[in-house]
Amino acid sequence: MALLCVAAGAAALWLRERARNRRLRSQLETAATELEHLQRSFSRFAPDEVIERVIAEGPTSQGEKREVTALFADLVSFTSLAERVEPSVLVRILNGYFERMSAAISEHRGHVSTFLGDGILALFGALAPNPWQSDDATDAALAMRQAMVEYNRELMAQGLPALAIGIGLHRGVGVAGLIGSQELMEFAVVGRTVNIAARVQDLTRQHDADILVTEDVKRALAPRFALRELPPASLRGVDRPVAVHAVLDVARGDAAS
Amino acid sequence: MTLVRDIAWDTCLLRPQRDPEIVRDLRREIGTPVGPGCFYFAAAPWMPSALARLNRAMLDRTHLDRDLIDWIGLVVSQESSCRYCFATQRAMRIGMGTSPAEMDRLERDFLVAARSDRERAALEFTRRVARANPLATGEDRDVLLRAGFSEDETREILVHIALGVFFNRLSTQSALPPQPMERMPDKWHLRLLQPLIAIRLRRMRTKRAPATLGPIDGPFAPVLRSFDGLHAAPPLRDFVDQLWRSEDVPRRGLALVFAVVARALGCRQGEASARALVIEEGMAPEALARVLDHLDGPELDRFEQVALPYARETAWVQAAQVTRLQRLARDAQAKLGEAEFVTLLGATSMANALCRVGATLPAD
Repeated sequence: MALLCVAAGAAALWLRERARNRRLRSQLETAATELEHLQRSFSRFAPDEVIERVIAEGPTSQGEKREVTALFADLVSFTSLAERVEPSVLVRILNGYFERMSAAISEHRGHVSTFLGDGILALFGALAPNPWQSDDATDAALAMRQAMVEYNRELMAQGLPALAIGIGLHRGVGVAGLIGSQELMEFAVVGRTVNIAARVQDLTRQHDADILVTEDVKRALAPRFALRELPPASLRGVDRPVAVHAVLDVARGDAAS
Repeated sequence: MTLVRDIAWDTCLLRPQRDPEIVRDLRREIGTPVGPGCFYFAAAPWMPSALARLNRAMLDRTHLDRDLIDWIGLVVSQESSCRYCFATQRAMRIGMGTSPAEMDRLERDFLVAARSDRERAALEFTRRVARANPLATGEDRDVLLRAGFSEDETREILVHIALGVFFNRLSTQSALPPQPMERMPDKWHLRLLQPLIAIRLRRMRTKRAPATLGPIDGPFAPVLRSFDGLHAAPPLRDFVDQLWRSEDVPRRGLALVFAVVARALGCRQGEASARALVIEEGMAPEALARVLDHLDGPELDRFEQVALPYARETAWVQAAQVTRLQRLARDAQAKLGEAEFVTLLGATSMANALCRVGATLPAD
């Protein structure tokens, strides 16, 4: 009888242990699946190496230098537009704009780093090395110009105001890494390259041109791009005047502004 | 849930052309049934046989443990987001007795767990070489040696990575249909016959005697020479030689494709080797520099104008971009003859494989 009790006890223990193991295994598998889902989702925004490092070591402050081309785009006269249309219409217009611009950027191997109000910061060569990044970024800017023409046609057909953009491009070395606080962190490239692209974008109003590239972008551009040289301009935070060029419409060979 | 099988995948770009006589001869030569995938590339008549021999080499081994070779193949396919190859390798493991649930668990474990330190080192190395962002180097190879792998074993790991990358690129670009292989483990009659299938598969997967290449000085000789002694070296060399002798695409176009893939990956040795071949074929160095800087130029012929911008797209294939690559492949196909197109697929796939493993070799 005692032997039976011991055997029953052992069996109960074994069964409980087995159930526990099964439960733990199932939890582990669920966690692993979720982790992989996250990893796959994040891989669209940061290099796989960075994601793996985050998973293995947690968010770290490691950064590395990369050669990138930064594209900064901004809507012209957005503030006055915001005052003229209903908030729900404004959001719809903005979302349509972001969607089209993002598609043009990713089609040319760039990735949208961040949306800043009505502005877009896109990077070429940040997630993987890209020796053709200047050509890609300029092609993306031209595709954005074309997408805006088509979007404006849609907006005007709905009785809505047309939009205009200014785009600035600069190529240089930036520091890539996870930037932010414990609460909000993103993979970003920081440094002068991004700042100069934003400042060059500001110059588009001054020069009445929609796409401007710096000399550093121009130097690596294919001859198929038609450019118009503009006088060097002083940029806030930059010691020397920066040479800029307007990108003309390659197909027609005339200036687009 | 198995994530690789969730990758969006286009319909197949090619139609298989199975010649029963060639199938019979090849079966006799390689001793196993010929994989159906080979016959999608029959527009270049030399390719099905060359692919069947390479396919056979994937099953065999010279020094390594059979299971490790399987995990290497699965990791490479996962890294390359190749649904077709992953499904094939998964079905084979299930045929050999691994349960589907275990396979699903292992698929996740490739990312988050290791089975042993030695195996972990091999799989991490595999992932690094296959991913190539950044390109693996000799230092990564040294890690493998320090983990306890011999020089021969390390070379064999590299040759299996090369074979995996090659077949992944070929299958993904042409969108070979993965569904039949994905469904295979669920078929009741195959489940019933699994023990017999396992015996058959084990017999098929043999340990081969080392095979010597002999003198080799053709294109990409240093990389091919580094595989000398391994069972997979002769079919790899055979594929490169046949590609080089292609009647459908001139050598200059093929060398340019290799140079573009090498540049995209940042493989200096590979680019230098391919540039030398292009110059040998008559292009002036200054013109070549311009062409490689912009993938365009008046010097390019019709094939090169299509092939060069396309070749760069094959360097990295992330899950979310598979259908984009397949769309671009379809665009290229529309502008080329069928034989030119499959030769281009073979060239980009081989370039990706050789550049990745070549970057881990010591500089000449």
